Amino acid sequence: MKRFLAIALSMALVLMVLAGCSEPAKETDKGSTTPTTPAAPKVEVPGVTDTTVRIGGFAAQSGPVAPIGISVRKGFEAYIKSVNDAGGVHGRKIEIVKVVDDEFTAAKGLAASKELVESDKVFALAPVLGTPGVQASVDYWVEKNIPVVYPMTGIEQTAHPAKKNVFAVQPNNFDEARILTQYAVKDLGKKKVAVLWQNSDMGKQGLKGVQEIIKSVGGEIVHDASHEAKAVDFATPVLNAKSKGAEAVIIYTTLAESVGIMKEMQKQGLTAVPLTSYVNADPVNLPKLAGDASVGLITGGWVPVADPNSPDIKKFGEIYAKYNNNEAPNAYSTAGFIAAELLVKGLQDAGKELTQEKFVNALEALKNWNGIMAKDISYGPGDRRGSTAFYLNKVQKNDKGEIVMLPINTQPYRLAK
Amino acid sequence: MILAQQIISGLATGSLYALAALGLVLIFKTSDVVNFAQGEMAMFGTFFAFTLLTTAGLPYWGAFILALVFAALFGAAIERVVLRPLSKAPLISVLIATLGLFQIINGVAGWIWGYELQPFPAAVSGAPIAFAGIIFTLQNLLNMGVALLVMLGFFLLFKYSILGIAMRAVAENRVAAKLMGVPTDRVLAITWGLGGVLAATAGILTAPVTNLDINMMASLQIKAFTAAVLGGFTSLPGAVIGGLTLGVLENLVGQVNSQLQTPFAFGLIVLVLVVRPGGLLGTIQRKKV
Repeated sequence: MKRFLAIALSMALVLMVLAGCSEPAKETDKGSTTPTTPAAPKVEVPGVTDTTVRIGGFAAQSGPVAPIGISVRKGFEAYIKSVNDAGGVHGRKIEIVKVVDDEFTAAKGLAASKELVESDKVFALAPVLGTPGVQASVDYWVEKNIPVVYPMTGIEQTAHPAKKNVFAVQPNNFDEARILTQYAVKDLGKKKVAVLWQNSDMGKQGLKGVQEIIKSVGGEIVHDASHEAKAVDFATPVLNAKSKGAEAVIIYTTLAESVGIMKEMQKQGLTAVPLTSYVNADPVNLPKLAGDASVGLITGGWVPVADPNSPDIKKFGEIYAKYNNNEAPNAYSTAGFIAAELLVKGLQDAGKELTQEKFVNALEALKNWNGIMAKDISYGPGDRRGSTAFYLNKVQKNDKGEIVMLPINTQPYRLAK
Repeated sequence: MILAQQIISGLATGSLYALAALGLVLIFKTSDVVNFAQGEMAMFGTFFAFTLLTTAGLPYWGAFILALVFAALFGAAIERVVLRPLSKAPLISVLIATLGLFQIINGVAGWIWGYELQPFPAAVSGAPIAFAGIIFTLQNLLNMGVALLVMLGFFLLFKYSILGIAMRAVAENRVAAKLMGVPTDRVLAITWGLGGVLAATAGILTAPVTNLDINMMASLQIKAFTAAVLGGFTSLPGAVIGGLTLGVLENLVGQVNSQLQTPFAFGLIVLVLVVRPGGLLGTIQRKKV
């Protein structure tokens, strides 16, 4: 009897709890960026209600990449907050559910993607930072058809082959290498090109880009050689490039190795023009580390920063400062900001009846779109590259003998079709 | 022509590997411990020198000497605080402790000095010298010179000085040495202090090439281990020969195929060990873990 009573009471308890759970939660959201209990969606669109749209992403917030990831997040959040404070988009405030710290690892990046899509049920992924996480997640993103705005990495998979729901912005290694090659051969007249590439995705994709375009611009690759990441001895590749008469050396690797290569070039007296990726276009650290071995270097670039007093750059600075204790932004917060701008533009153009498909179509229709810091962003059917305009820089000595990085072109430089 | 230059450059890089390997071998030879934290000790000492140079504004050689003093104390402190309590523990525990030290020192350095890459001045500056068509930098010559000098110095120390004999005694049989009146604790502290000095020297000479950041010794450490193994983990001249050989091998193999240069160089070393398990100059130790 007692046992029967116990069972009956516990079943009653369970039923009461279940009954309580199935009541819809009250709508308490007032439209801020702080997470609130999600209301039951009125339409079957993940992350969207009449008053909010939920998004989330991943970026390293700890470890060596933390300075980059934290800056990206701050730039992103600043713009979103400014948009929310102005009323949001079509009456919806944008809620940043979370920016997961993936510690710049593939496993955690993929786990973050899954968590955001499946348990947090976000509308789109942004900001998304880092090659390991992106590389691990790309197939999952395609499988789930989740819109991804500006995966921040140079690997070509972001745009080649184009994936309907993934919108790249920064140029990838393959496309950038093609631009640098075109510039070296056609604009500088240096037909004999050597490629010194890092034995990694970045370097391999860069080499592929050079190889793809070299014949059609009328040049030839006289030598190509790889090196490991963190290599210190570049005597062999530089000597070979020199002995084969290289007139331009495309250095497709990260900063420390680029510095090592340029120093070796100076030591061995290789006077070819060095060109390198925009990832190394650091006007402070490059001269600091390479000294006058860096003079004459051509770097890629995709954000026009020629005029620091332009109204756009000032506006960006103001918005960033407002939400970040009057701090000044850096290159990484700029990237985060651009991701936010693109997200908001997509939400805007998709209209009040928001679906993921309309969002994707809205972004796809962009042609030479200019936001505040986002410039010249274009997509199209089968084209997800985003930024195809380059702003090349050259490292030179100014009249005071200081080593500075100056822009070469103020009008966008593009691949000749 | 290229070949000669590659060999010279290989020797120059190899002497950096050699300097890093010397510290490893010294500590192993005398205290039986493979110090996985050797590279991090080098990095830490170099950052200390960097702070002296930039924040304190000391001249190069002043900072260098002070950094070596700091590194000696750092090494001795590690021995006292981490290793000595583990002196009765199985060797594997000590190895794990040094691995733990690796992570701790790396993390603390990042916390103190940040993660950005910094330039580090070379010991000697000046235009490269061209000799018979081969180009040396003064820094290359200095590195090679220091590696050889250190090797010679320690060789003499071990063979002829009281301290060296005491160190060898402690290495061979710690208990017996103690019974014979050798101050084993002090000898071990001195050993680790010397190991720290070697580490800092390696770091300060490497930093101008790799630039200074908390992970600068990471890839070099693996090469240092390889150099030490190649030369025979118990032989100091072996460490130097191993380092120089590895440096040259990498360049020569890189000439043939740049992508396979690392696997090939390591493969060759495995081959050497198959043929001569003790390494080029080492003796086979039968009682080690």
